[in-house]
Amino acid sequence: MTVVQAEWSVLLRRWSARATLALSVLLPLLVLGIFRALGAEDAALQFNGKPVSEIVDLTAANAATAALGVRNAIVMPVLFLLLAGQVMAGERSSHVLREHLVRPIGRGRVLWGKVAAVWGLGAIGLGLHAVVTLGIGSLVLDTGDGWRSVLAGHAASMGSDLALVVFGFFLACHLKSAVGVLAVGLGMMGVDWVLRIGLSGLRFVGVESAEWVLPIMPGTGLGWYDIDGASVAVPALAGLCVWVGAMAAMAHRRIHRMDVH
Amino acid sequence: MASDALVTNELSRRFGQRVALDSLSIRVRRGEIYGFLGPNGAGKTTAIRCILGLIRADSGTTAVFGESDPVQRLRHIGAVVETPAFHPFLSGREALELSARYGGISVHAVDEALEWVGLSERSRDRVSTYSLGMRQRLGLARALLGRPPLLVLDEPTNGMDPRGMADVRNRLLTMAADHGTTVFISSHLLSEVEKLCDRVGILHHGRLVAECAVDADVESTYLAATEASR
Repeated sequence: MTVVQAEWSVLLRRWSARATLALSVLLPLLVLGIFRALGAEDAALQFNGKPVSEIVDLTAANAATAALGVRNAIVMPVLFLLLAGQVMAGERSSHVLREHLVRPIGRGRVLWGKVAAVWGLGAIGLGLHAVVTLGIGSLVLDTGDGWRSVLAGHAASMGSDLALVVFGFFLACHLKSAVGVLAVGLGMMGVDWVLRIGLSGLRFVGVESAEWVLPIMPGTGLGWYDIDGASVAVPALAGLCVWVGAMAAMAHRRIHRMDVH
Repeated sequence: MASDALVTNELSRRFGQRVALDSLSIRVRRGEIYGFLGPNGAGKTTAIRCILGLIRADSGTTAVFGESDPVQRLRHIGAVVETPAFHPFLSGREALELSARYGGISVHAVDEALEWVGLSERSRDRVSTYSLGMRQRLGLARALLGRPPLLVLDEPTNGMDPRGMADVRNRLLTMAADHGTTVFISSHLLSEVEKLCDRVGILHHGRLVAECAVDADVESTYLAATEASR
């Protein structure tokens, strides 16, 4: 706990951590604003001759789902990779990590304290996200149905956040700069995305092996909870747990073997 | 309780084909100020990193007050390794408080450490505004948090002006005399080591080539030892 507190005190001084909290408020506000604008009576945006408001259910619940989707798919992968890179790889290259490790504290505790601090930051961001979409959303839009699954989606996002944080720290234990962690991390996620498209194509044309590989891809695992269906994709969740466990074990091994200069 | 503060036994480390440490065995007595001399690249910093567990020795052992566990032995050590590093966005005080939390030391120890190095007045300024000498002093303050019985200092007066060097020297002498603190200090400055230390070990090409008391002619011993093993 001591390490988490120590890391937390430093984390909040970083611009990337402040950006994480700011975006947790601004992103849902932006989506709510777009939904409100689309739902206005004089809204000009049409699709196939129909106002968008007749095609899309412009409720606060749907706005929350959309905002959470953007947060989980785009915003947080970038921010978690950046934070992990700054907190581990950056500290290693600036020799600050060395100064922590000459204190009587195990390397594993240092690593997992940092992971917990960054994950905790994500959890607070999720809380802010839920409060803004639930609170302000219900004031400016129709509340809509499915709030329960939207809140469950927020809770489930904590699991996906943990996976992203562990992935970031796994890379950060092997690389020496935050930019490197961000670039390699996004590159690997891009490869995963391309592979999943390929596997989907193969599944479509009837290749059976694609049927069981696709659910256990890391990117599939990140979307293990479906808000619209309020359901858990068990194979995806199980696959994600295996990926996280493997990356955690490798990061733990790496930090214990690492020469710190 | 072990009678020696620091003991390394046959400590060796290679980086690729280069031998950085070659069977280094040293014994630093309790309360002693031990100088670790050697030319640049002799292996002083590698030895200190092995002692602190920052890098793993290929073979050999290290014990601090009889404790050989790499984490547990750090309970007895305050360290400065080369140029101390800090988060530039923290103030001097915050940097020490962070280190105190990491070490499980009360943050009340921070005031004492800051006063010891004469940085109390600038403690609320960001570290990024500190000169190299001030950072070095802040690093010393960090090493002193919790008054560890052994100080391991790697070139701690780097970047300091002569007055600062003399100040640190006098304070280390006072700590050793008043509190019985053992000091293991590496340097390539013969004159500094002669003024401060009780005994010196001379390292060359990763090997301990000579050891002598400072009342002997350290300079001649140093030159002879480093010349002979060239």
